[in-house]
Amino acid sequence: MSGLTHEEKIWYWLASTPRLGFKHMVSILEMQISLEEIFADPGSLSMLPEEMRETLKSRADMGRIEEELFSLEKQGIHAVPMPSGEYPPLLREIYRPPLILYVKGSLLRVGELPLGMVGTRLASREGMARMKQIARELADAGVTVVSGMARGIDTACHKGALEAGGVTVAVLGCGVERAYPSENKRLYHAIAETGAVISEFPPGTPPFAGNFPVRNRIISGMSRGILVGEANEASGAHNTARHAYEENRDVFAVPAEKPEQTAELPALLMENGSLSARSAREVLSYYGWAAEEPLQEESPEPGLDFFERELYNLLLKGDMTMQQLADRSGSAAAKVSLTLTKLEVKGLVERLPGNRFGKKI
Amino acid sequence: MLAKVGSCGLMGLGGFHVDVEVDVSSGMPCMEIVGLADTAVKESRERVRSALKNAGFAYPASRIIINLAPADLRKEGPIYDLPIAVGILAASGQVPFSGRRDTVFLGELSLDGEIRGVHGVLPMLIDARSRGMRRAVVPEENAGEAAYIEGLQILPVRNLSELASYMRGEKEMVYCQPGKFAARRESSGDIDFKYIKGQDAAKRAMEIAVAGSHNIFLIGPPGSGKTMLARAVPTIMPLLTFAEALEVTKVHSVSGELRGGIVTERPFRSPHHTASTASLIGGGAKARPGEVSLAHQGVLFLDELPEFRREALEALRQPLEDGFVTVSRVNARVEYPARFMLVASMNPCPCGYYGDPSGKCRCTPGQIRRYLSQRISGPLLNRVDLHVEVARPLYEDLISAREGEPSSAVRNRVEQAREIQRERYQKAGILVNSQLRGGMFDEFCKLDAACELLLSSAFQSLNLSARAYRRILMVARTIADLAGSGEIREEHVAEAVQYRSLDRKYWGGEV
Amino acid sequence: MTRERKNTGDLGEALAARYLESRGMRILERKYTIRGGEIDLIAKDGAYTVFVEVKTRRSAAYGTGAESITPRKMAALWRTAEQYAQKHQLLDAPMRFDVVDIFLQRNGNPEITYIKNADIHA
Repeated sequence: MSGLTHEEKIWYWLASTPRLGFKHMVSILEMQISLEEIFADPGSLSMLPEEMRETLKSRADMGRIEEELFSLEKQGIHAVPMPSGEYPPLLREIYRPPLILYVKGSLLRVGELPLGMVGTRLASREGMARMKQIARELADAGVTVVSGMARGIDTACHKGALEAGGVTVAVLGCGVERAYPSENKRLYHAIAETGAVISEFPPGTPPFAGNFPVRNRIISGMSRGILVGEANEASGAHNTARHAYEENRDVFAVPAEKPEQTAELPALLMENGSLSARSAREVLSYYGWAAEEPLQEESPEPGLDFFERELYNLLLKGDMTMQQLADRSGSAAAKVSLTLTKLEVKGLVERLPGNRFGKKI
Repeated sequence: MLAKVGSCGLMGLGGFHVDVEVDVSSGMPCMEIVGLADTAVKESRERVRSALKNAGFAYPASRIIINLAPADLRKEGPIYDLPIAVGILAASGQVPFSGRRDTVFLGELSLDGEIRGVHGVLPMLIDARSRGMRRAVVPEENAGEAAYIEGLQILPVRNLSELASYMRGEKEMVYCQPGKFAARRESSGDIDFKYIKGQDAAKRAMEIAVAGSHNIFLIGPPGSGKTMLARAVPTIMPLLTFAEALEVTKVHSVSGELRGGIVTERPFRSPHHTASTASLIGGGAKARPGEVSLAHQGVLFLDELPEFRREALEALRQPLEDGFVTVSRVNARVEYPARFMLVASMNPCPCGYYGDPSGKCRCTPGQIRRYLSQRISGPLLNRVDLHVEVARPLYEDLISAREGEPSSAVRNRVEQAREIQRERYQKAGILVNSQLRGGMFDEFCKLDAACELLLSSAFQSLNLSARAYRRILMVARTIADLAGSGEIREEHVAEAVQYRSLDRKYWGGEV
Repeated sequence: MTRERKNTGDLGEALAARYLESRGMRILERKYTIRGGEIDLIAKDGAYTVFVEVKTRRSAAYGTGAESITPRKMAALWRTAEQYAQKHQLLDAPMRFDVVDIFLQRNGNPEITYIKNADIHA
């Protein structure tokens, strides 16, 4: 049996009806009759369209509802209707909160300070590295990192939080039964294990483009504030920022450090008076949280030989192709190749497409 | 009157003896050719008749029956024109014919009596010699290739009149000088390594590939110079030996590709990706050798590999695995050699610019992963030992004054490495590192503890796939040979690891 | 056949016969006809029995008559000749086909082209 109360199950019955939204729910609740009575006689809901009433009637059977919930649980998914204690309190306050959330993992793990982190899918390595670092430090301090598990900045933030052993929540624009995008399968499982993967869309919903702006309101809705990294003006991140403004949440722009990073959105936000933060420390102190000592930048292993160190130092300045490394170190390609392998094996350097190499982030 | 003229037939790369029996007698005038002759042979009728008349000989008004023996082997092509004409001239008493049983005649006739070249002369005459023939009368065009057969006197002829003069003793027979083989060093139309600016990593990979005869993939965006690199490969390949030249010439002779004499340089074949499977592997109605056989002892360059037909790529498996192809014919199966070095180029993703610093690539990781995995099957990947990514040369690379090493220097190193391999594998029955199989790895590619450790760390941290293991060993062996080292050391393994781009999980994977 | 053409044909054959005789050949048969075909002249030239096809024309347009022997006609000639040879037990004797082409010009002598041992086959 699921962990929902009787009333919560009725709520589920209502909320899982297609196209039954917040406004309908409000009018239903205004009727001032108990949920039990509604369950017994769905026909009495005259404010609903005929079709909806028919659907409700056909499902007005507790056994059936319980079966539905059970089959969800077999997939590791549980339903969290609004009245539930697991439902994020901050989310209840937004304009049109989702009536129900489908969850893998548990929202009870969300801490006192949930913060959203968003940005572009086509981010630069530096941009992602920065947001990852910030996420890591925030999570280490106990912040819950909320994001969308999209490619790019989202993924980097989730990973940063996981690396610090913290809690992170991924809000999807499709059903939670599958990882989207598919290459994030491992990430998806890791998040569900220590945090939560959630969605207001019932399992089986495909990732329609239109779902994403809608889910963005949940990212900002369940958080006290959001951090915006590399992004364009016309982007999902901007959409999320707008939701945050509307709901009076804090918006921190993380400005770009280098010209190649896409700095449009953070710059725009700052022009319009939003806060800015260059590091996790600044964000934490804004909320009056004492930050841990910032995590040490990993220093290179002492055991590097002369040539390894030479190549590594070259790469500290930026990514390079093998050809450039050969030219600048004045060495033959063979020597450069084998040294790069040794540096890769030591975890200091990583290989990038196009025969390029860079310091491992 | 009956005349019997010796000739040859061709089956694959092997020859067989053919006796052209010509019987000229009274009766209803006709000329019939029997003996399982194909259409081209049947057309000999018309050519011989016109040639005899136009060259000033009498065409006998008689019943002429020509039998090509043995009658159970298929005869093909216009090569019997000459022996048939000789037979008719002999049987009608126009030209004295000694009937020596150690001579063969081959050639096509033009309508004016000129003798034209034919295909497959070298393999046919090699076989003829092995069956005791001592002399061959061949078209002048083919004398070049025939002159390399020891113990076979070659008489080149230009036309029927000339031949008749020889046979009548009016002219002294001048046999060919035996050919002297000299492998060609410089190739026309090839690019020397020293002209390729930058691309040191790719050039190094090519050197390794040629030294161990490893197949190689070149991956990079358009304009990165993949084609140029491929074309430079023949310039660093070891020179053709005489035995290899004979093999290559045989194949090229059969497919009619010979220009003049024996082949003196390694073949470089680059079929277009629209090529049919038959043209690539061999076959078709006449069971002709395909590109893989024409590339024997040389290079087969497949530019834009993913664009080739799936079927054609699948068919490459046999030659890559076995070094030969089997082509079916109506009543026999013919084998052609196909031991070549494969160089294949491809773009890294559908748009071509994945990894390019211009950042033009807009392909999704899923698209990238699918692009290569769908086109290049596992078995094909298993046969390619080196993957090297080629980046578009940067402006500063192109304008740099530094000229690279010339091909000849690289070739020297390659030849030395090949010599080491030849010695090492004397008893093992293989010639190069890329031919290593099964238990041979334990014997010839022993790794010490340090190498094992490095290799296993590399596998873990670099996410290499299991198939890479053997490939890396083989390549490390070649790198060690190039360095003149008997054992495989850490640095050889470390370098070999870098040539497995397509096995890396980053390819279309996560950050 | 029109009278005109028949006359031309007859005239041509007569001219051809005279021509062959002038070359030392002896005419054996004229217009040898069987069901499957017809041979214009059969002559003897030394040891050879010669089957002669005569082509007569008035215009230069169509080239020498030898080219105008269709495969069908050729097959008919062959069959007829073979039948003759069988009948006269000549199958092992020397035989050949000749073609005499006669171009009857408006003014002047007829132009005769003689093709000895023409390529007639089954």
